[in-house]
Amino acid sequence: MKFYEYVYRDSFVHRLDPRVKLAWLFVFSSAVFLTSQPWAVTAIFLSCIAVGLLAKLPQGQIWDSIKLFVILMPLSYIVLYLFLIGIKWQAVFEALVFSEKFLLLILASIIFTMTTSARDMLLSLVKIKVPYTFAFMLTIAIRFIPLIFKETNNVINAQRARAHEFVFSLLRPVDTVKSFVPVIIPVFTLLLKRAYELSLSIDARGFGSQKKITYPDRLKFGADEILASVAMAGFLFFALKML
Amino acid sequence: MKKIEIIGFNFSYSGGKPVLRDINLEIGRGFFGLIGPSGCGKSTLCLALNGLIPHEIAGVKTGKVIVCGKDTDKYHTRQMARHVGMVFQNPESQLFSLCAEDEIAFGPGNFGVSWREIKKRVAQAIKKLKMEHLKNKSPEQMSSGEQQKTAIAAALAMHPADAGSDMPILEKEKLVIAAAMALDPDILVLDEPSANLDPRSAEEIFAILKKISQEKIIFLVSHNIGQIFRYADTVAVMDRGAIVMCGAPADILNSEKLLDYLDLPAISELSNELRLKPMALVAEDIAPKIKFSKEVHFKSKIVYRKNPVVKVDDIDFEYVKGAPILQDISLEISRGEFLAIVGNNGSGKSTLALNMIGILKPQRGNIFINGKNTKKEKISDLVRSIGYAFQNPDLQIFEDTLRQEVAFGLKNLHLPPDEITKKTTDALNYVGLQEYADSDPFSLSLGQKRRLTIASILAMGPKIIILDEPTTGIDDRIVKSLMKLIVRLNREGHTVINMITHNMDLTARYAERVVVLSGGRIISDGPVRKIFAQADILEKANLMRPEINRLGHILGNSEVLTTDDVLSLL
Repeated sequence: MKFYEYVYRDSFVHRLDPRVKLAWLFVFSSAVFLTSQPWAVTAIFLSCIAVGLLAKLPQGQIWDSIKLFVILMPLSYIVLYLFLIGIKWQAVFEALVFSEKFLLLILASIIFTMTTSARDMLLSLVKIKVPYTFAFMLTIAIRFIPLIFKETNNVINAQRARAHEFVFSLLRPVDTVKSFVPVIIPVFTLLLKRAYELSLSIDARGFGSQKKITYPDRLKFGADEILASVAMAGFLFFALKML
Repeated sequence: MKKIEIIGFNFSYSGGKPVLRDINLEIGRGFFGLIGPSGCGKSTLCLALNGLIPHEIAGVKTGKVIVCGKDTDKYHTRQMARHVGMVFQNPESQLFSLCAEDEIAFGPGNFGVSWREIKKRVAQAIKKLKMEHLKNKSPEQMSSGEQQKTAIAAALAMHPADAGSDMPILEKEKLVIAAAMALDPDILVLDEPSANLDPRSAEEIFAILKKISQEKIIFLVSHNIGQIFRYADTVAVMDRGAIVMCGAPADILNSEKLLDYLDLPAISELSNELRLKPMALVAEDIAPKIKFSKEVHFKSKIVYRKNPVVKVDDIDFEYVKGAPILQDISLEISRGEFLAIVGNNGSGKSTLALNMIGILKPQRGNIFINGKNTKKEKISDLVRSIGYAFQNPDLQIFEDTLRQEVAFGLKNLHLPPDEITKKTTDALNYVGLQEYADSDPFSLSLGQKRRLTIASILAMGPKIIILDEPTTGIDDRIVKSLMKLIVRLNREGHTVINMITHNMDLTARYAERVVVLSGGRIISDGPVRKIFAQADILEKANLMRPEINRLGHILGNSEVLTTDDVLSLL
């Protein structure tokens, strides 16, 4: 299950500038650790679920990927707290609040990655003054990593079709490494070839012909972003001070 | 002004033999098509047009290449990119952005063009290639056709486009082209843009390029001889590094000399047999000139035997829960059959093959190879009965010599050394690579590498051979010699299963039985003539009739498959 993958939806949250979402992720997840007010934590936690609903994300898929945490984390904390604090209702209560904090971290990160495409993420990096060449390198990495996996898998299949068996054993490190040579060599050859072709085509498109580069200027800090930032600040103030 | 001027150009890669010999060319406008056998130096010549030779590729050169008045010796590829947009052979490795739009914007961005102007160019390139639906798609999710389109668009957008020009292009392929177009170059160089495309998409790409050629020079290398002759304004033939013929397409096509260098498409060969001039390129060229005088129902020669060597018993397969790749597949294959499994990319052909050789196991149903269930057998036992030669030989080659490469599988079977030696030698002899036995496999041509992969499978002794797209990327003459080998295997008792995506000519010519896969299901299974007679099945699987069959179809007999069939009906 790939819960970390970008899921396209036409929603307010998806359209927001990644910088606002990044700020939300950092501020909200640090906020829950700065307060020990149970109602404040719960309010922030619920707000996070609300953001997820607003983003129209596939609930079933998210639930599938986090259900283990949702069940196991409170349980294990309850056991731990019962030991630490003694057999009291307070222990159960505190354990639940503490689990809530961690679940919020997980949920917020999932919402962030599911609503922010890699390319918008990279553009926002350029906007916060990360050098373009560096962002470009990251783009290439994101683009080619799945391809490398696919290719490696093909090589493994091609060698298995010739009855090759892989050794996975810590006790026989030399044999393990040896058994991977028939995969490593073709994969490297394929990668080098790909890298070479890639470099030729980057040259052919004039990369590095001059210093000034125009990159896609898609991100705008507009009314929606201001609205979202104000709403976030207002909600946090309310949650932390009033509850 | 001559836009491309090549004067006495010679080139050899460092330490290698001459690849290009005394090339002299002048191109002023229009659509220039370059054809020639595999390995004749066509791709190398492309690399010289934007300065990759001599600036990025090491080698020895003499002579001059002047493009748009600029000597490529003095201007680096990065500068030449202002004039020359290049679309390379492999769309997959020339797209490096996360969506089509960014890909196309990359080229002009490198020249510091304003974002407003870039947006305009991107929009134009996308319109020209008819790829609006691809704008936000990532190259990973595209078909090769879509990628190619993007690359072309990216090359186009590199130079400012004219307003109001309305031109159409396919997905990966489209993307590659779009990306090249975004730089709006004066010259668009394309190396085999249709190699990974189905015939319909290839036709579409050529039509788009033809329109683009009204305002830019198109310099195109291709194995699709039929299309080159129909679309190009000038055709040049290259052989062993030299340009041997150059002129108007009709003159070259009708010259006998052409046959010294290349094999023509089946439909052209037919018009040769019938002594019809000018040479035909599509069914319509011949149809009005002949008439079928007999009505014949061709017999199908499939014999279904009682004990199938492969029995796929109602299987389902999925990699990820809820996303089935194969559904309700049942298939029985008898000893000695020559079978083609056809279907588009993503129809499930490779997954079915991996299930047959036991690398993947079906979630539901069973597969029996010679009566043995793949779920219960070890792969090392199955490979003695059924072998799978992958499409890309580079996936498996890793040893220092051909001999070791072939011996690899045998060593995995723990055979005694003298038996390994004997079987290796026999297999290499069988595929005709004995003289290279001790050379480095990486130095082989693609056609030879395919033979090597077949040898390394054959050596293990299977009687059932699955070949995945054995003929992509090689020219017709090498295809024929490779198919001769495969037919011989079949005659000597091997069961041959050919996986084919686009090459229906090949299917029509060699297969006895065809299984059509579409969306993970078998939608038709029967004698080859019956399959091509079913228009609805072809439509559903997005397959195109080969030209000879189309000719038969026009003249009222859809069972016609080969030149001999046509001759027998006259």
